[in-house]
Amino acid sequence: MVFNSRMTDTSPAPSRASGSQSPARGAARTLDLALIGVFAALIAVLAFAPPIPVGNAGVPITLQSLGVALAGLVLGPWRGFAAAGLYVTLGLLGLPILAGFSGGLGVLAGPSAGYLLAFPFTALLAGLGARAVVRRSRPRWWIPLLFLVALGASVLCTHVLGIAGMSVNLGVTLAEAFVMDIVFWPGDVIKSLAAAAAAALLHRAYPALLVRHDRQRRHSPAGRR
Amino acid sequence: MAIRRRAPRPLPRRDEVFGRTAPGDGFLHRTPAGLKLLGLATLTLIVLLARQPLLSLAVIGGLLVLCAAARVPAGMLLSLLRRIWILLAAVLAAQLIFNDPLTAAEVLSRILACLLAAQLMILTTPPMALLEVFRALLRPMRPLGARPGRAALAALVMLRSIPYLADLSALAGRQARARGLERDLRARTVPLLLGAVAYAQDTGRALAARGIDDLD
Repeated sequence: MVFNSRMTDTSPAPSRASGSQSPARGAARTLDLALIGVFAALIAVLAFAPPIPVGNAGVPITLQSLGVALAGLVLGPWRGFAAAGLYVTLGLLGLPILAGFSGGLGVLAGPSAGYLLAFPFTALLAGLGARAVVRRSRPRWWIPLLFLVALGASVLCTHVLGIAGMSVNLGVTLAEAFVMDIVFWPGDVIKSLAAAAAAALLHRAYPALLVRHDRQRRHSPAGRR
Repeated sequence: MAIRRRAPRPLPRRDEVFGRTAPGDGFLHRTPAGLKLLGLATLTLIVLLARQPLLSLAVIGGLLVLCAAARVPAGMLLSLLRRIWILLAAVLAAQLIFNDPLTAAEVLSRILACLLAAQLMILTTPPMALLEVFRALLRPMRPLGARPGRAALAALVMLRSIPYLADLSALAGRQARARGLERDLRARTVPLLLGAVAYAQDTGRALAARGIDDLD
């Protein structure tokens, strides 16, 4: 709608054949940029939240990795990678946006360095899986499949790199680091489930969020990137 | 018939994220952000590679001296310990279980030295100066496909949306509590997520309407 008004009220409408970007493409690109920025902020806000008790047992869990899973499941691989990467990069550069309002390169010496560095790749992996799920399967299978995707990405990426990081920074063997990592598993299952449910709801509410680019390419003449 | 309205209930103070720069104008405040970042990187690398408890302790002492010399209140520097004490307690417990006391001292002093050094830089550097450094660091990576202008704009969008999302998150928490669902993760996250996507769409439209869509 924004583009229509822009094209009708000014006399020389931007010509599409001149090789310049069309307004619709520009709007799609600014939306991508805004989504990346806002989801990086979402990870930061969830990382600030104090640990909350969840479930009947009231296990306190922190929500930082929930934001990473959401970035991947909602935005897809590349924008999810960009959002988590922006968060980690700015946190390491020194904005106080990491857990506990800390930040800066010194975090690389801490026990959570491996987990932090794994976040962009977890979002990438979760995004690849989520894109396949949303394109190929029926909506009623989305929640269980997205749950498996989120859990798989977390196990394959976050936990592997996190265990390696603890082993290096805390001076313990890999087996001992593995034992320390077990504490995070129940919370991880709960968070993956919550992320899958929320992402499935969001893809129903905004169907164009993940598959828009693909559809646009199919309907546009070849040659325009 | 004058209606007396009840005074509005005060809202909880939201976490101040970017008001954390220490006041003052010491020499660390005046040092350029890029230089401070370079110093921090060097210091972190040395401490990480050397792994000497005495060196780490000396660095912590040096940081406290530097903090006093730059006239940064020491309380602001040490308040980091209060915010991350759970993490430090977990590290200490793991060290006492798996390692001998000497290694435990080495690990703890190394982590503390690096975290305090980073905190000193955060306290004396405004966020906008850091964004400039971020942009400058991306510039040489342009042949690899990096877009410094777009990345810096995304970072600005992020800084701008953090207070909004923090308010939204507090609101979602209170709504969940009012419904008796304070232990339900979905009731807390779904309103936050929907609000975030709507906010991103508004921001994207606003940027497109101003023609900001062709950055390097």
